[in-house]
Amino acid sequence: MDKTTPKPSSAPSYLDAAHGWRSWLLTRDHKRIAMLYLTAISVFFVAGVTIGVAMRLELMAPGRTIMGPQTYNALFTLHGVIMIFLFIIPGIPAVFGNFVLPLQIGAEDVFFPRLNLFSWYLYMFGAVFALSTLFIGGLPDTGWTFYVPFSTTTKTNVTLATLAVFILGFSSIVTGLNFITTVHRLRRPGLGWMQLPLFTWSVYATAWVQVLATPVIGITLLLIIAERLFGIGLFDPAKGGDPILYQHLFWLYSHPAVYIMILPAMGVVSEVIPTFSRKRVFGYNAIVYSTLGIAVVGSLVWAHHMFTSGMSDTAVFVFSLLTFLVAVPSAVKVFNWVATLYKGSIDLSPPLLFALFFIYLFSFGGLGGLVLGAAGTNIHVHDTQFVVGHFHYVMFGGAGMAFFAALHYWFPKMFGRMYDIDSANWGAWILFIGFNLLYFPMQVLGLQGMPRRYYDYVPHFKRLNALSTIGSWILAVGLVILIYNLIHSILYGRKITQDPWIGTTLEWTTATPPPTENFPADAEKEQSAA
Amino acid sequence: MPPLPVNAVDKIDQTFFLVMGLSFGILLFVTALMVYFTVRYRRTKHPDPVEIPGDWRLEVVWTVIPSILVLIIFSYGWDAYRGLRDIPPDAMPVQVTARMFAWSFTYANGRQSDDLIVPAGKPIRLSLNSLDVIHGLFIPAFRLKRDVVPGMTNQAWFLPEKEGTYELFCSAYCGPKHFSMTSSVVAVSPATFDPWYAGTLNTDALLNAARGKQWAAAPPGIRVLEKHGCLKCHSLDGRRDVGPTLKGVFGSQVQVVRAGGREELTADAEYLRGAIREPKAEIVIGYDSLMPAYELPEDEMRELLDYLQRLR
Ligand code: HEC
Ligand SMILES: [Cu+2]
Repeated sequence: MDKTTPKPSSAPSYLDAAHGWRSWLLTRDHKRIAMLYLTAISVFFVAGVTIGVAMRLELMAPGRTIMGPQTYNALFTLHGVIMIFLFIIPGIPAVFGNFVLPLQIGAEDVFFPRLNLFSWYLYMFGAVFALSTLFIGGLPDTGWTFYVPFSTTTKTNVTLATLAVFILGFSSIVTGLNFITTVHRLRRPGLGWMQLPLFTWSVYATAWVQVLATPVIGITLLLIIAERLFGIGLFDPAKGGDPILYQHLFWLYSHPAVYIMILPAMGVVSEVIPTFSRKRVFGYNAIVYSTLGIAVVGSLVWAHHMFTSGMSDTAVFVFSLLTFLVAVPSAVKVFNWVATLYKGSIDLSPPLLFALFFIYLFSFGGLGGLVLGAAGTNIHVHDTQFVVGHFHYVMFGGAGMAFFAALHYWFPKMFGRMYDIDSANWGAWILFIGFNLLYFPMQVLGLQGMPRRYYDYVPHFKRLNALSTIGSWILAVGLVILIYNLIHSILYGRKITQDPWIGTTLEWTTATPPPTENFPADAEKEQSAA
Repeated sequence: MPPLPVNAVDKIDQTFFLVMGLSFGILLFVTALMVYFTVRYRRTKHPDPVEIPGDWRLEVVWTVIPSILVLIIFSYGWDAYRGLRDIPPDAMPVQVTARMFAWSFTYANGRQSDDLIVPAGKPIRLSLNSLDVIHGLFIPAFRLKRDVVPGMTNQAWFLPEKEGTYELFCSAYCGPKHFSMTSSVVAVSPATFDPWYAGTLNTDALLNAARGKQWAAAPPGIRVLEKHGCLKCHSLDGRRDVGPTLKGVFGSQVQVVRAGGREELTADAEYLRGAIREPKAEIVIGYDSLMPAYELPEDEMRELLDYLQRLR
């Protein structure tokens, strides 16, 4: 198959196929739905970052800087809810999974296109619910974890917020179901499981976690609502309930959710590194099995968030052990990625740069995870700034960087235009430097004993906090450069019709940007065969 | 003198060094390789990639080695954790009571304090109780953290080897003023501790000596307010906080919601006693029902009301 020159097609690209807002809001084309997600997710991401920068500003110096404690508590809750439920969890699967997965398996669309659009509406509906707490009944101040009994006693509008997360969960489940079915039913004839592109594999594995784990949080959040409205007492010790039960239920979903966030990111990196090294990925099978290993074992480690809660020491033993086991497949992936670079022909374009940042930051965060996994050291750093630094390394440094890698990798395919490479490189480096300056001091602060979710702190934590705040400004500059570059390029970028990277997966064999039917030549062939 | 029990801190710190050392090594190795390959095989210098077939032996090697390393770390971590959990039988028991934004420590003979005053060199056993939501007892110097869960009595212990004052934080988010829920561990020589414990040395004198803080100078009413953590939620200067200011509250007209409905009444001594003893019975309009109930001894209650009456 000639991969470099897709057959010129007479069909208009999916962007030109129809016009007007109805053609977008009522579309069933997976590529257009991906665009709807991309737009919404970008807006929420920018909102989340803005809140984060504001919180850092507050923490720049001890005492009140720009806001009071109630505002601060509400903001870290909102920041968490936005970033986790509106950005990272849907991020890569809903945008790039939607756009790329059907293309990568040679399909015309996902299996249930109408359901696909429905899940976007659910997502928007949930998002509006979540944000309406800004105006109705007071922003929750519980943290995104909604721990009882505080969440059942605070007067703020926890009910509305948990309902929002419940709806978002539905959207996630529906998308997951759609992807699973699509991969099972719509693979191009002859495309076997062990030939699937790694991105498709990881989105597929993620979809299973989404479908199996998300209902748990749905139920848990409904229980909070029941507790608030009817006082059923399931989590209330005065009525024979158990607040620790809530934590088990919450993390039963929310730990696997961490893998919902990171697995697709790993999939992106597994595509980008081979493409920009002009090589096949090293250890394809090992990467597939480690993906599945993470999806399975990752579902069994939830209680490592609860070592100090008072659960039994046996539980601490088991969950600490399992946590260490899940570290191994991640390490295997990192080694395979680095081995892929060996003797490649490496082009350090922005997507690869982001992928390498991913490897560094994710390894850094993952190794910090060993400190958290070891029971004895966990006790000291649990609920401190160390944890905040850690999960920003793996979530933002991992999933976030991979999101940017994916965006810069598939951008030409999606828009048929090219962005400015130099600006992207500058933005990426500034982002990376700001990132480390922002989160590394947090990890040190945690080791020194500064708890998390602290509006104020004792004076000897001053310096590192100031440093971290400065980091947040640098990071913001990097983001502004990156986002400006992309928006500018969507409007004015150089038009292209060729694959700029010479990728080897199926999405690069069709026109750029793809026509609505993805592979019109195929469709014709099928029709003549029928 | 009996031999000191093994301090849990040392093993924990060993685990920290082990994990961080290993992690640093692995990170350096991976990053160095990555950078080296990227530079060495850049396209301008190395235009033709060399296809390297996968190698299952390599995969086995880099699966088995990390597995062994993580199992080693796991066992160190577990061992260190055991140190935190094996409470020496001769440890001195202290009851810890957490409520929104204040700690209180009660000793076996009924002595009470809002700083954790302990004799240096003796292991201390803590029984943790919460009166409202989940809190977390965190003493960084002793690598100790344990959640304080309502309806459950968690246990913890530590060994203050040296005299000194150590920070004590609330680590589990517990509400608007979570960050202010701090106290300290004050480890003093047995020669100071014993008379304090027996009640012949008063707390302020001990704390003054331990950290040079001039508490004794404050009016007794303020000390009651400080001692019970009221000032975490109430200001004395007219500012609105989690709760209404206490300035001028005595004798003022307040709007409250009762079981019966809205009501306006005069905040006399009787009302204020009720507001402290049973805050859930009447909620001041515009505030949340966040105030915990307090059972103050009669002499403290008097000092407090006396003070509030003068605070205009
Ligand atoms: C967790 C925060 C919190 C703490 C700690 C707290 N309060 Fe309150 N307090 C409140 C809130 C909120 C209200 C108003 C709602 C209500 O009436 O219960 C209130 C109301 C009051 C009132 C009634 C004021 C009025 O204007 O009618 C008094 C008196 C009072 N508190 C005294 C105290 C004293 C004395 C202490 C310490 C022993 C204390 N509070 C500790 C939160 C707190
Ligand atoms: Cu607390």
